[in-house]
Formats: sequence, structure tokens, C-alpha cells
Amino acid sequence: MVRFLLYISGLLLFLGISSWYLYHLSIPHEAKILKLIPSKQQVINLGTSHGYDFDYRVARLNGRNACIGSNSIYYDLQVFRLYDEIELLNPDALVIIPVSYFTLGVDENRTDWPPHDCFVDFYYSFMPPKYIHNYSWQKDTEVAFYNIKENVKWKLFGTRKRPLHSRQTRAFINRHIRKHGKPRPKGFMAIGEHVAKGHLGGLDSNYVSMNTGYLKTLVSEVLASDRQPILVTTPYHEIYNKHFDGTWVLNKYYAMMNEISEEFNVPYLDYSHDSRFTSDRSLFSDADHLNKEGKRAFNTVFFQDIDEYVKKLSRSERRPEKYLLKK
Amino acid sequence: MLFNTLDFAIFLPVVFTLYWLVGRKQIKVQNALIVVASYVFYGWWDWRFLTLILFSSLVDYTVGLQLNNATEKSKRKALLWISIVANLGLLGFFKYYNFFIDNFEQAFALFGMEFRAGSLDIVLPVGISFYTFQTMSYTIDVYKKKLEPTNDLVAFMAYVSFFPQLVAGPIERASNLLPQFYRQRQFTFQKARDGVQQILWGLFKKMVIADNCAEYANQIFNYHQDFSGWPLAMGAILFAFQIYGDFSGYSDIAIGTSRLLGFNLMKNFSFPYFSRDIAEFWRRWHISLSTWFRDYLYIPLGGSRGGKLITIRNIFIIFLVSGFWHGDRWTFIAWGAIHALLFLPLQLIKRNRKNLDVVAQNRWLPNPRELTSMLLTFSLVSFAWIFFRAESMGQASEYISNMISGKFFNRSPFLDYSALVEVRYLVIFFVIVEWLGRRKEYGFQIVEKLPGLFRFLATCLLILLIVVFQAMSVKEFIYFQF
Repeated sequence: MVRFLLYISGLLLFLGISSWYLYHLSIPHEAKILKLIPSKQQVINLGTSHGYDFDYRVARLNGRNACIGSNSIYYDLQVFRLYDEIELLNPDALVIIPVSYFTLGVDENRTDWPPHDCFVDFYYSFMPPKYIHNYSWQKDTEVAFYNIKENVKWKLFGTRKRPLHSRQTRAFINRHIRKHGKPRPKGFMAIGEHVAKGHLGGLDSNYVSMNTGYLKTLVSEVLASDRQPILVTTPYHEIYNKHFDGTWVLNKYYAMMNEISEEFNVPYLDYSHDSRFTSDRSLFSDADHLNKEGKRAFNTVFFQDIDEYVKKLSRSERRPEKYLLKK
Repeated sequence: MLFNTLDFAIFLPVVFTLYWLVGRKQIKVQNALIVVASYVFYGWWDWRFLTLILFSSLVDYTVGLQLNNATEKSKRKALLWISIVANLGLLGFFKYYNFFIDNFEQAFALFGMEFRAGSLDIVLPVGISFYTFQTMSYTIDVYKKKLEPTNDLVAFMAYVSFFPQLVAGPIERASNLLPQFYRQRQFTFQKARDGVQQILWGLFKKMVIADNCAEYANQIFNYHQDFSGWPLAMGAILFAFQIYGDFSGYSDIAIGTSRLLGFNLMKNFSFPYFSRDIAEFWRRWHISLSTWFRDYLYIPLGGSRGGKLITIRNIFIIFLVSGFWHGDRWTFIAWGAIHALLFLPLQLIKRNRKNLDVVAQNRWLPNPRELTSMLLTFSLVSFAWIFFRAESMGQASEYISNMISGKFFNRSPFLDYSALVEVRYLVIFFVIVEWLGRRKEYGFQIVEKLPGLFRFLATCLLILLIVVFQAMSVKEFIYFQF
């Protein structure tokens, strides 16, 4: 019996060591960043993929883009709390909170993507359990094993870890065809309409009050930490806006944003219908995301608009010249 | 609880520890522990199911004792019928009630008459097809005086509810398993280690081979109207590996777990896809069920002793009942009928016992004739699996029609061929190991030949393969639905 127990212990030890090693072959990018950030950040933005529109090099700021595609406002709150807890933010940092039209109507545990492509699984990869909504150790183990699988496949077959939402995979294309009866449309306008309809159709008004509560909590906690929250809606192309204008989503959205802005006396900058961007196709990679040119244009405008807040940041932390965007 | 879940990974060590440390040399304590553990295991799905297995156990235990006391033939027969009616009644109600009602309604409708009995919302108890057959084999053997009835209720309940094989077999004979509950079980390191290896091999078959093949087989079968030609043939082959990996994997885990507790269960699969003809296939596939039908249905009906017509009748009965045992769909019956049609010629020309040895007995590789036979047999079996997997006869015929019509070799835009490459390598590896281990109890047992350290490392490698290549989502064992 002793010999057998030693045998089992040997197998379990092997399993533990090899799992640990394989898991750490490639740890999630966000986890790495959290370990490697050398200095405190002057500015951070949260948000969905619309948060990728921000670029702090324009303003020579030490900033961190902490957004993630399809994110929920609940996890924006958790990311801020995590950054605050591990002291990655300057005491007077700016916290940019990009809020998207669909932010109100989503559930933080939604599983419209297959298991282990869902954005919630991403948070399981690096966030402490206390920040995870309905944390379960079974799911944590599943995600860990999924990461191990992906790491080994990467080493063996050279396939990189899948980006969270890979629209080019055959599996995604097939799912789309199954769901909609036809392939995803092509062309800027057609995709824009398709995405807008998809975003609008996937929302549930039952989540509005819950998400409003999370956003208010986020704003109040940022203020309580003596930092400056800035609410923003990034630029969208008019083809995207067309499907939201006049809907319950936008009515509730603006009602919420104005209410929070007034209640907490925080700035709310709305670029969604800004004529400098919204009708200029050349600034967008798709209907609701800016391309490189668009980001340059937007960030130039944006940081001018929040100049009064930027000026208050301690100068010694500003990024050096070499990080400026080349013209 | 499923074998491939964390629940079972916790359950088994607890039972193992209590069994050998607390139970130790006390048979009755160990048997009682097995009963408790088995009822917990079974009740994990739904505690209400426990009443059924308890009922079945008590009926057959009582019938067994009464058979021992009864001397009149008529009384003995009546007692046997009580057991058969009770067990088949349970099975018939939970599994086939709605099937018969629906078909009666359709039959009456054909003649323009209305028959409304109303189908019921019945939950099929997990494993009912297995344990009812297991208990019936006890009473039948006692009736035939092949077995002495037991008066140890705990041992009998442990035999009926023995958790490793309770929900998906092997369907154990009382003459094999029941005596093991009377004897002192000995713990030996070699047996326990072999048990662990077999469990791991079973998990590999289930979680890596079966579940990965299932991802694509399900896609192809569920959307078969979007495919034609080769992808559909590939779907049938993938399902063949899915069901083999799933079912034989479960059996391996069951047998391996039993070994950990000092029990020996019967072999349920003997590398059936290396069969050279259909008769050999049925000597190697789901052995516990096929031998059950042979001993308790085929032989009592006369077997092959009553002339050609009787033989044909009996063979069709066996295969149709075997198909029907799997579920309440005409597709299962069709699957059985296909195998009957494939088996019958061999039986009639007396070539059904031609291939009794292991293929390529003293050689590394099969000769061309053996290879051709194996591939042909596998193709026929895979074809029959189409009916087994299809939801309806219409779907099965549409599937086959699409497979053989149009351009055979074409690439479908709906399949992820790059991911299929990974599955292909896994299946090839699996087939190679099974081939090398075809003379053993299970494929991975070939590592017994290796020196101690290499055997340990091979087991570690197997664990790693399971961890890395397991399918992303947990799928229930196919045979749980039976």
C-alpha cells in the first residue's frame, strides 16, 4: 500500500509540476503587464474594444490601456479596484471610462462566445478570485487547463494563442453561418450595419439598472481615491449610429450618462456624433473603431478637451520625447 | 457523477481510503461500504433513481431465496417470471412507454382511427438497461441451478449496485462477480498500478479521442444537409471512433477502478475495430451484452440447432432486440437489422467462427488479406453507425444519400480542417497503441514490458496527453442514455 501511495504521489507531483510549467510557458498578456509595469500610471482607460481608440503617446503621458473587447462595466470596476489595490496608479491619476452604447444591456457572465473564448475566462487568467463575478474553482481549473492546452499547441504546432475574438477562424465563420444562415457580410458599410444590428439585438433592458449601479460605484470609488474619472463615448461612424438613434438603448444611455455626470460632477465627453469624425470613413477601421489616422485625430482633440485635467498631473512622470507619434 | 469530472476524482480516493484502511480485512464492512458508496454515486444524478435499483435488488434477492426453497417446476417458473416481469417492466416503462404510445397512435392513424393515450414526461434512470439485465442474469442462473442463491443481502446489493460498472457496464454475471463479494480481497501493488493505468487509458479514450471526435461528428451529423461526399463518410468514421472511445473508455475506467478495490470484472471490448469479419466484431464489441443475449435469449430460442429458418429467425431476434435495447428509436432497430444481415451469411455458411485468434498473431503488421478484411469490416460497421447516430430514419437516409451523391472528394467550407489535423494525429497514435496492445487486456498495457522507470514515465506522458489534448467541453458518456 505504501508503495502504491508513493506511486500515486509521484504521478500527482508530475502532474502538478508539468501543469505549472506548461501554464507559465506563456502567461496571459495582462498578467505579464501587471508584473512588468515599471512605474505608476498617470492615466488609465477601461472599457470595451472602444477603449483601444486611446493613445497616450499623443499627450506624452504614462498611460495604460486596460480595456478588453466586449467587456462589461462590472469588470471595469474590478480592474480599477485591482489596479488601485496593487498601487499601479498615481495618486492623482486620470481614470478614463469609455462607455459604449451597449454597456447598459450586457451581463458580465454572458457566454455568447464558446467556452474559453468568453471574455470572462480572460479575467480568470489573471484576476484574483475576489474580483471575479460568481467565481468558481471548477471554472478556474478549466481555464487553467485551457491555457495549458493552448501553450502546448503553440510550442508544438507554432499556432499562437488565439486572440480573444478571432473573427477569421473557420470555427467563427461557421458559427456565423449557422446562426444567421449566411456568411458575415463584407465591406465597411455592410459590416457596420451588421455589427450595429448585432449589438442592438443582443441587449437586454433588464440589465440597465444593474449596470447603472456598477457605473455609479466605479465613478464614486475613483473619486473616493482622489483620482479624476472622465466619462467618454468614443467616435462612431454614422452607419453605426443610424441603428441606435431613437432606440430605447440610446435614450436610456444618455439619460444615465447625464445623470451620473451631474450627480458626481464629473466630465462626460461625447464624441459619438461628433461631425469631425462621424462622417469621415477614412478615420475608421470599422463602423465603431478608429484606425491609426482616426486615433491620432481623436486623441489630439480629446487631450485638448481634457487639458485642464492633464495639466494637474505631476509633470515629472510625463513620458519622454521618444514616445511621441511620428508624423 | 461522471468518471471524467472532479467530483469523481474526489469520490474515488475517499472510497479507496475508507475501503482499504477502515474496511481492511473485514469483508462485511467492505461490502457495506461499497453499497453506501454505490448508492451515493448513483444518487448523485437523481436520488429518486435509488428507489428503482433498491426495488430491483430486493425483488431479485427475494426471488433467488424463494427459488432455492421451491421444488415444483411451475412455482419456480412463476418466481422467475416475477423477476423478469419486474425488471423488464421497469425497463419497459421508463425506456419504451412513449415509443409504444407514439407508434400505436401512428398505427391507428394509418387506419383512420384515433388513439390517444398521451405520452408521459418520463426521465430515463441512468443505467437501468444495465442493472436490470445484471439482476435478471442472477435469477435466471439460480433458476437453472447454475448458481446458488445468496442469503447475504448486503453482498447482493453490492453486486447489483457496484458503482464502477453500475451505469454503463460491463454487465456482470453473478457467477463471476458475486463470489468476489464473499472472498477476502487482497491489495497488491501490481494490480492497483495496473488499475490506475487502465483508468488513465480509459480517460484518454474518452476525453481525448471520443470527445474530440465528437466535436466534428456532431457538427457533421447535425448539419448533414450542408455536406456531401467525403465529409459525411468522415463523419461516420469519426463517430465510430467516438463511440468506441467513449464506451470502451468507460469500461476501462470501470475495470481499472474495480481492480483498485480488488475486484476482477469481465473484459467488455477486445479491439473490435481490428476484426476481420462481422462475426469476429460481435465477439469483440460490448462482449458482456452480446454474451448475455447469446446465453439468455439466443440459446433458449434454440440457437443454430433448429435448422436454417430457426437460425435466421433467432439471429434476427437477437440483433433486433440488441438494437432495441439501445433505445426507443427505429434507427436503433435498423442498426440491429443491418448487423443481422451482415452476420447471417457467415452463420449460414458456417464461417462465423473462422477468425478466433488475434489478427497478425505473431507478426508486427497484418498481411494484405487481413488488412483488407479489417478495413472492409470497419467500413461496414461505420456505415451501420450512421443509423445508430441519426435521430431518425429520414435523417439517416438523407445522410447516406448525400454521402453517395454528387462529388465525393470535396472540401466543405463548414469544417475546420486545420483543427481536424490534430484529431487525426491523436487517432493515429491511438490506433498504433491499440494495435501494439491487441494481445493485452487493454492497449496501454504494453507498457508492462518496459523497465520500471520508463513505465512510470510512459504513464506520466499519458497523463500529459490527457491534460493537453482533452476536448474543451465535458461530454456525457454516450451509453448513459441507454
